[in-house]
Amino acid sequence: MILTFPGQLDLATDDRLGFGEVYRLYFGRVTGLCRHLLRDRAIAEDAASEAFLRIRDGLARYDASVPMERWVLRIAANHCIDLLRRRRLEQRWFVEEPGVEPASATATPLTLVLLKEQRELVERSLAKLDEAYRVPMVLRYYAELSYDEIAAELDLEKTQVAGRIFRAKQMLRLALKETL
Amino acid sequence: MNCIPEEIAMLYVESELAAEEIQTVEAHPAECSACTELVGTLRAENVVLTSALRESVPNRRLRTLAHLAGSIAASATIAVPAQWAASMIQEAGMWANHVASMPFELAFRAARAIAPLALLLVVTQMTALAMTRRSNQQALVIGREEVIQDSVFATGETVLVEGKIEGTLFMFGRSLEIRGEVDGDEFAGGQEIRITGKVNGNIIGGAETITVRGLVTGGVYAAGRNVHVDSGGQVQREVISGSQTVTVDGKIGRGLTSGASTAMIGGTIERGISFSGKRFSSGLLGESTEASARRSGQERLPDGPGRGAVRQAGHQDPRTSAGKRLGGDHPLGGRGPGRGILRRMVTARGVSRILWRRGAVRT
Repeated sequence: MILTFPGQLDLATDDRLGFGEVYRLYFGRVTGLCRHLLRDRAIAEDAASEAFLRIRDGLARYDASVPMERWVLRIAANHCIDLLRRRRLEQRWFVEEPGVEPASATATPLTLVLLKEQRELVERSLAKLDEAYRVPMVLRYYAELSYDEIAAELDLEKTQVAGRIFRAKQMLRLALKETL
Repeated sequence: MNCIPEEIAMLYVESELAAEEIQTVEAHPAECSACTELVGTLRAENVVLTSALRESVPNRRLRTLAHLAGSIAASATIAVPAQWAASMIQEAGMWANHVASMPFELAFRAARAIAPLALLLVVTQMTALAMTRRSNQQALVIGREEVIQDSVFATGETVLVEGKIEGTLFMFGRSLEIRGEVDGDEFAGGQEIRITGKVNGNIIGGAETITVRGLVTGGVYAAGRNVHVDSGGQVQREVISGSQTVTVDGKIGRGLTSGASTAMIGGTIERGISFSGKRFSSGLLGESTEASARRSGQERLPDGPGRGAVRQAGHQDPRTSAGKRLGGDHPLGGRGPGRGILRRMVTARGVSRILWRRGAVRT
């Protein structure tokens, strides 16, 4: 069986699928996640390599009931969060309440973003957010983890995750409103 | 009825509301235009956020095209001179025999006269490579029953060789796979090269990913992002790789020379490893042997009943001591204490170099 779609990965039934295949399929996604979380290309590449070491070690224990991509990204996210903590950035989880920009019933600065350059602006604005807000946003909108999974990764309550994502969006709207 | 708070609307849009809360939201009048628009706006925001984050990672298609162009250029750079050199060696040998049998003066004159002919020969050899050409813009398949008694130049979006080629194979495309057999060298350039069959020769290739799961009786000389010798894969001679990552879960009959960022060895390498890069991980010497020097300075080289020895030199922050025994019945130089050597050096720039030599003993 030739596997071309990540969701179809089934290590239990395809003995041809080796670590090389997993690496090839998910290298981009894992590196992207590390870059968004760590904000440093070199550190992110290191982190991605480390994450793949963990992935390789864990392949034998992979539970095929979980989508492979989600499993891989959770391992990578977990490693990046460990790094952030190690760098003592976790102290910055507790930050001052930011200014807010509520979503209006019509267009918001975020929904007005249409052009590629503007989307890059969103990414840059997101990168400027404090870790406390940026990390849940990346885990949600890049890694597509659920609130429960994010809460587990960050040792938070689900309500705290929701609160941070909510406030992060408000901060983004504010930042974009000033820029666009 | 009050409108839905924004935070509740956000959770609703993201399918993160509890069942009873969903009922409350959906009980809100559908004709409430403010709430309907709010939900729509939040959904649109999520689309923008997802696309902004995804697109900020280097564009996969552009990168692929860049890799493809680079791979083809690299392969062509290798293949054409190699073909030329091979033919020239034969020609030169023939002419050398003739020249050697002549008196010097006569030989000199003959050589001067022959030079233009030799040049012409070179040009014709380079431009008129006689071989079977197969091409298909989409998928090119050389079928299972097919035997081509000639060198083959194959191109296509996908090239799949299931049959047998009795000659050198040149293949270029996005996805290239040999499931059959090639009796000769393979020169390949593409996004992905897979060897699941048998190549009775060398593989010289440039690709984003090169994976060997079959048998290569020669060596693999590869440039690309990833080079993998997967479990079940076997390269009977050496692997020389300039890539970002090299993994070996299969077997290499001779040595591995790698200038990779990361090397992960879980299989067997019969002779030496020469590695220069950031990170090295090996199960060769025990259950889990890692040398991860850059920045963290961490490594784990487990104690155990192994028979090899480790020597280290120039280590900045050693977590293992020189001569530490490694666990496992490793296949490299494991004939007795001190027969093998793993030397690891960490330079001031944080680049680790690992050399393993079978049978060599250094202190």
